Amino acid sequence: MRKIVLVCLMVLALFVPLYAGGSGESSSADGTVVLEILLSGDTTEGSPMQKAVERFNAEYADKGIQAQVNEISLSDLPTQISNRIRAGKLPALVKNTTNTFEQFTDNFYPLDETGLDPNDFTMNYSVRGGRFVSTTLNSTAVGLFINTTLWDEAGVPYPTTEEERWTWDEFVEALKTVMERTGCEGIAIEHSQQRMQTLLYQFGSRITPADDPYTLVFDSPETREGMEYFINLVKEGVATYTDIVGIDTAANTFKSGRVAAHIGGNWSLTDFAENITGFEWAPVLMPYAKEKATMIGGNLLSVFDGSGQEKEAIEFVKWFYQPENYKQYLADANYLSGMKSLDVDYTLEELAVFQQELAASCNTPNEDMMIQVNHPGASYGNTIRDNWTQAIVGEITVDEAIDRIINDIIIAYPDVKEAQ
Amino acid sequence: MIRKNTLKSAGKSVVSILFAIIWAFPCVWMILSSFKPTSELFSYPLHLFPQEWTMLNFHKALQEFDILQYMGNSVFVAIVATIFTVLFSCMCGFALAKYDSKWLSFFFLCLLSTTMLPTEIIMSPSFEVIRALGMYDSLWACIVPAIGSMTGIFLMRQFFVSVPNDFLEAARIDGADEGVIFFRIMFPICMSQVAILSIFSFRWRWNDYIWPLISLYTKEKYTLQLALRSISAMDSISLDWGLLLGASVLTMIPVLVIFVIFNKQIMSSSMSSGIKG
Repeated sequence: MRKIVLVCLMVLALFVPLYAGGSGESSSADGTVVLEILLSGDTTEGSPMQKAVERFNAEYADKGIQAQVNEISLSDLPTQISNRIRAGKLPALVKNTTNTFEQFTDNFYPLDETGLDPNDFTMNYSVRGGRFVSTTLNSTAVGLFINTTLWDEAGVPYPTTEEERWTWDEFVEALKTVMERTGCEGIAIEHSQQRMQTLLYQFGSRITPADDPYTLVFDSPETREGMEYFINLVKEGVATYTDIVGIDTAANTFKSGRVAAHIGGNWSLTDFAENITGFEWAPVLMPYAKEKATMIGGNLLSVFDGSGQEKEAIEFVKWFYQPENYKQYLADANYLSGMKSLDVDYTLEELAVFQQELAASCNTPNEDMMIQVNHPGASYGNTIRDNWTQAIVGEITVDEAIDRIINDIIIAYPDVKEAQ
Repeated sequence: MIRKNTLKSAGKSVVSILFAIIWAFPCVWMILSSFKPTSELFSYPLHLFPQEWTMLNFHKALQEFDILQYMGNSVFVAIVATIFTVLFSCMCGFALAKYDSKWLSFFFLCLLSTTMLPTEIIMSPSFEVIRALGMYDSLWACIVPAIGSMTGIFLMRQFFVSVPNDFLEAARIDGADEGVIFFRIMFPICMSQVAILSIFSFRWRWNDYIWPLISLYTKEKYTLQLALRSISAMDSISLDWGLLLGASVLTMIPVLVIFVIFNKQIMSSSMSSGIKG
C-alpha cells in the first residue's frame, strides 16, 4: 500500500512542476512580445499563415516582436473566443469567417493606425458601426467544376469563353445528354448558403433593392422561380439529393468521379489538383438565367482589443499587407486576393476562371451585403440555405420557405421592413 | 433437448458475431483507409483494401502533429485525475457508509441528485470557478472538475455498506484512529472496486473532449482528443482526410496497449460494474 502511495506521489512530483503552469506566456523572458494568431484551416490549406509568420519572425527577430499560429477547429473558434473574453486572455489576432466575425465585432481594435484603406478590401466587412475592424485575408468565389473525362466521352462541348457561357436551360440539357451517354449522375451542389444563394442571384433574386438596404424584396417571382428550378432538378434526379441537403459533401462526391458537374468554390482547386487522379476535371464558367453572378466570400483578419498587444498586432497587420508579403501569402495557398487591384502569380491556372467569374458577376451580392453592414453584430445566419433545404425535402412549400426566410431576416434586423 | 440447446447456442453466436462485425467494420475501414493515398479515399467504386499501400498519412501525421506532446498531456490528465477520483471516491464512500450523522443521509441524497444535472448545465459556473482559481489554460483545469465523481462515490458507498462494522469496532478497540482504519483496513479490501473505478475513470478522462476544449487554449497543452479535433480544422470540404486518418490511428495505439496489458481487468470490470461513462 505504501508503495502505491509512494509511486503516486513520485508521479505527481514529476508532473506537477511541468504542468502546474497557468496561462500561456504572451511575452518571453527577454521582453519579446509574442503575438498569437488564432485561426483554423491553415495546415489543410498549405500553411500559408505559418509561412508568413516564419517570414515575419525572421524579419522581426531583433525588433522585439514575434508571432505564432494557434490553430483550432472552426466550430470551436467561437467557444474559445467567448471563454477567453471572459477570462481576459485574448489572442492578439484572429482569422475569422464572416459568421464568427459578426459575433465579436465589439471586441475588435480599430485598424486605422495600419494606414490601410478599408475600401481597398474586397469584402464589405471592413467597417462595422463606423469602426475599421477587419481586413479581408482572402476572397473566395463560387464556381462550376466539370468532370471533363465524362463530358469528352459523351462528346458534349463545354464553354471556354465568356461568349459560350451556358444559360441554365442549356446547361441542364447538356448535362442530361452526358448522364444519358455515360450513365453518370448529374450535378452535386454544395449545401451552403454562399453556393445556394449564388444560384438564386443567377435567377435574378435579391434581398434588398440596390439603393435601399432597409426594405426586403426577397419575396419575388425571381426567388420563387430559382428555388423551384432546383427543387425540380432534384426531383428529376439531375441534381444529387444527398449533396444539396447536406447528407454528403458535394466536393467529395465530385472527387469520386460519379457526377458530371459540381457547384463549389475556388478553395477546392488545390484539393482537386492533389487528390483527383482517376479522371480529368476543369472549372468552367457558371450558367446563368437572368444574371451572371458569383457570391464573394472569404476570411477576415482582426486585432483583439484587450490583448495588451494591440500596437504590436497593428505592426504585424502593416507588415502582412505590404504587397510582397501579401502576394506571397496568397500564392502559397492559391487564394484569391482580398485586396482590390492586386496581380498575383498563381501556380494554378484554373484560378483564372474564378477571377473571370468575379469580373463578370452582377453587383447584387455586394448590394445585398449592405443590410449586414448596416447592422453590426447581427446576422441572419444560414436561413436561406436551411429553409430552401426544407422545401427541397418537401417539408414545407417554397412560399413557406420564403416567408420563414423573411421572418428570420426581420428578427435579425428589426428595423428592416418588407416591401408592400 | 441437446439439439434445441445447440440451436440456441448457434443463434446466440450468430447474433454476437453480427454485432461484432457491425461494431468492428467502421474501425477496420478507418485503419485500412489510413494506408490509402488521399486520392484513393473517395475514388469510386470504394475498396476495403488499399489499391496502393502507403505510410504517407502516418508520416504526415507525425510531422505535422506533435503526438508525443499531446499524448503526454492526455496521460498526465488521465492518471492524475484517476488517482484523485479513486482516492476521493473511496474516502467519501467510506464516510457515507460508515458514519452515523444526522445530516449524512440527506447529504448523500443531495450528492445523488447532482447526477440528474447534465454536465452542460454546470459548465459555465465550473468555468468561472476554474478561472477564479487561476487554472484556466492549465491541465489542472481538466482534472479538478472531474475529481468529484458521484458514480465513483456511489460505487464505493455501496461496497462499504456491505462491509461488516465489526472490522471498524475491532480496530477502534485496538486504538486505531480513523485514518489508519481507512488506509490500513478499508482501502485494501476494496481493491476490486478501485480497479473498476480506475479503469473507467482513466477511460473517461482519456476520451474527454468538452473540458479540455473549455479550459485549454495553448496548443502545447492540448490533450490528444482536442488536438485531433484541430486537424478537422475548417469543415468536411477542406479537410485533409489522410492526415486525420493517420493521426486517428496513431492515437488509438496507447489505448490498445493498455487494453492488451489490462485485458482481463477491463473485461471483468465491464461485466461486474455496468457503469456507463
